[in-house]
Amino acid sequence: MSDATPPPMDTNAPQRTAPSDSVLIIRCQHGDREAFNLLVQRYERVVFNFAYRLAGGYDDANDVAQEAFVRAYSAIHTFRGDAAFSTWLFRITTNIYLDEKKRRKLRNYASLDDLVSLEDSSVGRQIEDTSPTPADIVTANERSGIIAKAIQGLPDMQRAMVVLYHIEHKAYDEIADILDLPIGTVKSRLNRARLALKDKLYEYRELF
Amino acid sequence: MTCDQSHLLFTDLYEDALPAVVKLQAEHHLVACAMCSGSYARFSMAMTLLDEPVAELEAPQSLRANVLARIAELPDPAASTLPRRSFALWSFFDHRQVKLAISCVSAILIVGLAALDLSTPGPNVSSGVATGVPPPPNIAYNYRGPFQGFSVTSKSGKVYHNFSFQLPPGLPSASVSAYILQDDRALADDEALSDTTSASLAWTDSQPLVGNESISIPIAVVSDIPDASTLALLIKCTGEDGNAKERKDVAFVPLDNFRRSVAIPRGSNLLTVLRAAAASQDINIILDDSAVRSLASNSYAAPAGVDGASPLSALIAEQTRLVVIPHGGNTYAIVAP
Repeated sequence: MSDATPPPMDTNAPQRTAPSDSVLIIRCQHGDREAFNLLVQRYERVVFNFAYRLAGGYDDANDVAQEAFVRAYSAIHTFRGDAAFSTWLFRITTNIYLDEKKRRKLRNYASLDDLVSLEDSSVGRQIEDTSPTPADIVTANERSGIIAKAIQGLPDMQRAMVVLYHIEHKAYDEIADILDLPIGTVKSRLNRARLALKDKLYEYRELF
Repeated sequence: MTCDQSHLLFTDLYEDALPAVVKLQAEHHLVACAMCSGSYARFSMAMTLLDEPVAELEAPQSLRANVLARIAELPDPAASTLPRRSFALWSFFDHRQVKLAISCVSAILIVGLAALDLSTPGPNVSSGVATGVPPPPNIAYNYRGPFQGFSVTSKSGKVYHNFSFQLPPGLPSASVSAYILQDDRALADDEALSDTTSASLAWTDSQPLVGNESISIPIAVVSDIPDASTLALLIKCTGEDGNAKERKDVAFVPLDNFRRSVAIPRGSNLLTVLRAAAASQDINIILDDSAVRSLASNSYAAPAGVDGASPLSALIAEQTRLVVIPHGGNTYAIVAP
């Protein structure tokens, strides 16, 4: 070894910082639930907001976020650190959201011709129109409200991409990692989502 | 260019990611086509709107409580199979810790003064470097070579680590750097180690290599480091032609519970370490079996200026529970009485 002198270490007062994700994760992997509590505390806001942008509703977002953390805990021993923990959480959250949407679609399949029984009569099924009404627009008289509604109108996967890119500010490669898609697919689908959004948002151009 | 083709390029055009020729074609099309031009204007407006900051919501107060209540009913993940790691460093510390304690009173330890260039008091590994600690999530660990190491532990729990890595043959030189990773700083890759906001260089060295030669890595002085930090050892091997083709291996050592350590200057040998430790009347030397085997298989010469065993043995005999005896030539054995 050479005789090079090492840089002097800073021996000033110690700075106590929170444990890193990797340390908390390994503690979790060894059964430390308090460490997982800290991870939830650290990421609950991020995960909830992501879930909220996907699901479009407070309660649904709460359910998705909660399920995401529980699933993360159950699978924490499989986390190898190949990606950031936050990326892993995003992936789990997205999968839960997409799975749940699929499940609901299957569960809610019903014929428009079915009659819905009331107490003393029956009426034709009415399907809720989730597109924004003029009243909605007045209520959501904010750009963010309009944008959120436009995003909600996208197909699930495109919505996930738009949320990840434009709201969570993830890079293409990270989105590819989260959604387990090639980067080229991410870019082409995101382009398609943006083309759809441009028309949706253009409908409200007078509000901007 | 058709209108459909033009639309496919909107994102790349907006992000200025098109090759010059294609960009020119797309722009020409937009000039010539009123429909696409309007469409691109709407696209640009949408992009601007999408990039506006969005207000964040607070997570529901019940969220964490519900999560914790649910996981309380789940089996302990520790009962599941932990990820297997091929990195010998982690498994090394798994079982060696036990051996360290057992060997405390009985081992006869052959220690070469010159080779033990212990410039670094390290962390207390009793709870930190335990099992299966993953590397920082955004850097893939890629050292696959053999690993050896040993620790010198003081009574107060300070541990002095010495790591050695067997590097592949044909590498004329190698440099090794130890970095303290700052908690909660994301590292995109090993280059980020040079970013002082993410990692601080604790120690670095380089040396020429001849063939299949191992290098010894004394870990740097660690002092007043916040707990839950990580030490990254970055090994760079320069190619035979001396150019920048490098093999980079990064080993990560999680260092919990850093508190204090004795600052020992680089260039110090074991004697200096012992002096510093003995000065605090606080020394106990423990080497694990592999270290003993490693050291015993080599012949180490006492550094120039060290006269026989007298200074060291006197020092240790007076102030510690260990003694030093000559072990042929300029090598010594540190013996637990």
